[in-house]
Amino acid sequence: MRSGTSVVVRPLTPSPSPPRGEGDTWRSLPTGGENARRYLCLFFPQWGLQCVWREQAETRVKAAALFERNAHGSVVAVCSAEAGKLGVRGGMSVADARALAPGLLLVEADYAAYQTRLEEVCAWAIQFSPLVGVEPAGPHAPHAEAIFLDTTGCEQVFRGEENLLRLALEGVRKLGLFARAAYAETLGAAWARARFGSGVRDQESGVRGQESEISALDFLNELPLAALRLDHDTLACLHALGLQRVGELMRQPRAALPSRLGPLPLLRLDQALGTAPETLTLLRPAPEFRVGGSFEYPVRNTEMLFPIIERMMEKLADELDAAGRGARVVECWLFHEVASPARVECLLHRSSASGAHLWQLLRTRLEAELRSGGTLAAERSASILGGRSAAAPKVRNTFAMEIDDRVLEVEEGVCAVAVQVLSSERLSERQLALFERATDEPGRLGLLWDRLASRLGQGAVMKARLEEHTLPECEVLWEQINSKCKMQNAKLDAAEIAERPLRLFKETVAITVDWPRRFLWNGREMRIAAFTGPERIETAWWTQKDQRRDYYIIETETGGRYWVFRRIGDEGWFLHGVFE
Amino acid sequence: MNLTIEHLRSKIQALEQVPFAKPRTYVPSTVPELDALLPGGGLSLGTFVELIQDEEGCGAFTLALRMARGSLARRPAWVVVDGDGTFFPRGNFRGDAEAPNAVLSLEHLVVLRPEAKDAAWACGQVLRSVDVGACFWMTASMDNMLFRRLQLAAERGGGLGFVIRPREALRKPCWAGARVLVSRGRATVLHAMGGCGGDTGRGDTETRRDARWRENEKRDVSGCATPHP
Repeated sequence: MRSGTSVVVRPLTPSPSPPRGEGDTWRSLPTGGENARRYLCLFFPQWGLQCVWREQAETRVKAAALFERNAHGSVVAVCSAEAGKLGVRGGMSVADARALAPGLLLVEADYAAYQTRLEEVCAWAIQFSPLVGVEPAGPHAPHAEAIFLDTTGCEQVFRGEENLLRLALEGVRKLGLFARAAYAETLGAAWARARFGSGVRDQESGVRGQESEISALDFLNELPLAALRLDHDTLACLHALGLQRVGELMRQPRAALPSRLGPLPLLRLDQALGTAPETLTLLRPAPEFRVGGSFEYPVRNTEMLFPIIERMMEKLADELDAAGRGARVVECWLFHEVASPARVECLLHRSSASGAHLWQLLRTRLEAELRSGGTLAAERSASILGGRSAAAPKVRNTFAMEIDDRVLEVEEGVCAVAVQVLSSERLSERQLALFERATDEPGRLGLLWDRLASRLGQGAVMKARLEEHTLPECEVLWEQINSKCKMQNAKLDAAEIAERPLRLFKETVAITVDWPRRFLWNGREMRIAAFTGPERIETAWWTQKDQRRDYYIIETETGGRYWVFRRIGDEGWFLHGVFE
Repeated sequence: MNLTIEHLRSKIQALEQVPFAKPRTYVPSTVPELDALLPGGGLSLGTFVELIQDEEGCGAFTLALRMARGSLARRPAWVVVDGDGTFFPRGNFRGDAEAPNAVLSLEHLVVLRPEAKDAAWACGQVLRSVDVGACFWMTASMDNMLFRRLQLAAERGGGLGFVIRPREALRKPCWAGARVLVSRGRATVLHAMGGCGGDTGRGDTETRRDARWRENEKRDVSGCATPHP
């Protein structure tokens, strides 16, 4: 999963003289402008607890709380509503919480895992918009609980914002999660509305009113100051001044705010109103080239669908060619009327602007996914937080046969398709490929690796790299064939190449050895005819794996040659490989 | 070749729908004893070779790697279809392709780890490629149709394909260009097609001639009373 690409959300209209120039006035930018952007914020209340509930469904009805360890001991970080009814509060010591609620389920918070899971949900949300990002941790919340989607223009694919919102919340529900969602024209306003707004939508309630017609200034007025994403100290200071609502803060003279409260309140207000830029860190880079289209009626078989996508790929290739670039990562989205969109991705061994080649790879992937009965991205994402959803596969073939000229049926009709290039490079800057020789026709091997990777998966086409390492299992590293990094093997002299088996087991197999006469493996008695060794292999104690092994090459009376070792310490014997 | 003869050949072929055998190119397997047993003094390019291993660890894969060197001198790319993910190219190959006396080079190795259902397809794709010198696959199950398909794929690609199978495969028909039994460190050519008439050969050869088994360190356990070294 890639991250780190940033886009700057510019002010909606250029403002050479900011509206705050007069010192006392606040103005939000007009809604629905030509350059207006639309952000959808999905806020997951008590995200850590939701992760716990998702993994342990039986705990959902219990009073539960997350605790964290700090200098003062173990304290409750967040608690469920049931726990709150029993008097448990955030910041309370764990001992006190246990005293109040003896049956309280206490789980130590693992914020890193919660962040990873939120990123997984964010990746799932790419089906609604290519521009998605996780809420950056800030002074208001050290741990993210929301994701943002830049849905500008995407509503056309989903036939309106309402439909997009509904699909997003349905998808969240299928993941076993709970979210509050809200649209706005700035990130700050979307977050404030999703977190504190009264008219936001969640799984149980509907949207009240046309939110898009309410300006940020109007709805922010009534929200509490915490909606500005301020830190605890600033909030405490504002409360001490008697300010509770954002509107009350906006009635204060602007010029005096920074000197008394620091720059943050003013910045947050301007960001929420759209008069100051705010950066959204995207989970994935925005597509560089994109072609898409929608159908009048849902398409339900590959006989009709594939020619359309093929034409799109040709168009995409034309765009690439015109720009002098070749695609490295191509993505295809299939949008359904009701079901969640499905996604297929192709990584190329070498950049290509050939429509036929790109289509061949994409077709292989699509057919493989269809044949496998619904392992498309939309389905995989259902298992983000552990386990596939109970829903039936959205896409499956009706002919469990080999592909090529057979027509596959798509259970959920496809109403729109988008193909896009996520990564490209200049064709003229291409380096020689790994296996390319002067006598090779350019790209033939690359085409083969691409074809194999498309069908088998990226992780199934590997190249080996030698590493200098003490432990045998760490001496060979595997890289995907489409990895951009140049493989550099450790250079070894012939004298340094120790004899190693051609097959090395992933897990060593415990065996019973009657040294030096025989050993038992898989219920078979192997009588030892000869052996060589030992070869002592031991790792340093300061490394992660502290191992001391004596390796022997054993030849059995039947001619088999095996690589076994005796673990020094407990004297256990293990089979590690076979000299095939 | 005379154009008239070629023209007549294609005409007859079109009438009879039977392809004529192309002139074969033989490459030495770098195992002289084995070459002596094979028609043409080596393996014919575009051949699928079946190695039957009498027991795990008897050296069939090592022999296959040695036999492929002649083909890899022409096309260095080689592929291992490694379904169970245990292939370990550490001790037998060099990372440096330019090294003198280089054996099979890791620089040109690609390892495929397909699911069981895709392994045959992957092997066929590799064999069809005209740029891959050799493809290796260890598998127990292979029906006649698949065998024939892979042989045809190898003929089309012009490289060498090696399938390593257990002893049980001896009872089944062979569609490969050559079938070699590897047992107790020795190889026996059971069947080899070559030339126009499909000559066969029989004989033995050492499979691990180049294995760096330290003979001077090798210890015979007969009479060894030490409970543990």
